[in-house]
Amino acid sequence: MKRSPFTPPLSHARAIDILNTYGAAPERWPAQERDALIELLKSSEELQTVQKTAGDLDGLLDNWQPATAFSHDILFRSLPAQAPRAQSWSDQLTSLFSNHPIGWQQGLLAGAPLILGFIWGLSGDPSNQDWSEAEFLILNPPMEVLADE
Amino acid sequence: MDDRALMERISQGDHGAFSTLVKQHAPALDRFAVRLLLQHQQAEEVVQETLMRAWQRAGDYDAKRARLSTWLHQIAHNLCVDILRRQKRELPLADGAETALTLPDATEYPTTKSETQDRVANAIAKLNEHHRTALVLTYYQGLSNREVAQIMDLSVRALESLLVRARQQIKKILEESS
Repeated sequence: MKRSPFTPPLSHARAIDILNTYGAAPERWPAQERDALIELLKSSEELQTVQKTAGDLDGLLDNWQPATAFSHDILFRSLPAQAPRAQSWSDQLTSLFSNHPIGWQQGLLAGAPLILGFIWGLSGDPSNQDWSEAEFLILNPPMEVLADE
Repeated sequence: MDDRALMERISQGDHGAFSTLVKQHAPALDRFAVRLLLQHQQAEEVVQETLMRAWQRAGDYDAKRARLSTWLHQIAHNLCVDILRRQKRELPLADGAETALTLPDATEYPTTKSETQDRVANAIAKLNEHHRTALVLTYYQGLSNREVAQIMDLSVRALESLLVRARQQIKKILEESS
């Protein structure tokens, strides 16, 4: 088996660790170290002995296959009638306020300035010309106003 | 159908998709719970609760973070840990008893009557919760080390340490019992 050039080299000590940790079967070894360990095993009698010892324990562990008797019917009987729903942002917002009896009122109060600002914003941005006209009138009142004073 | 599509359909209340999930995952979850709790009835309750939570929280599933199998095992694992810790609280260990958890009588072990199976089941039953979980998830459930570490909320290094010790202990127990 050809090793990828990106596969890091596997030390002898790490190879022993893997066998003692995951057992003798390659499918249980960490995927990124599997190929390297298979290669190392070919040339090391010591590793082959460790693998055999690990395999003996694997053989015993494989014996334990508990019978299962899970009943699917029970599950389907207990399914809630209504469909589950992914929470949308509006649901989350609603649940946030609905958990507290007066929460929505507080939320409305707190949000009122924002809402008013939003509405004001929508109603149109006063043009620079409008403001300059107002400023001009303040600084230069009409003659009749001056006369009244 | 991939995990994400399946859970999306379940989140929309699709019973057929949920049935697919049950068929694909319930047997493995059941074997996991039986091996961890060593009791059929509790294991079945764990599987049922796990699947119910999957139904209710399908919208929370994020396929980028974990395979569906890992996500379900994580839910089942948390439920099993709750049960094991409750058992431990109810029947505290004797002083110096480091490994044994309060477990059902050996006759309740979900094995056939083969002597080897009973020996292995007894040996695994004597492992502590962490060692047994690490061994069962890695050895029997076919999950990768990274997935098991994610389920147990451990680093891979910590998981490997648990696995080495679990295998050493089982070997010792089996040698003593033979």
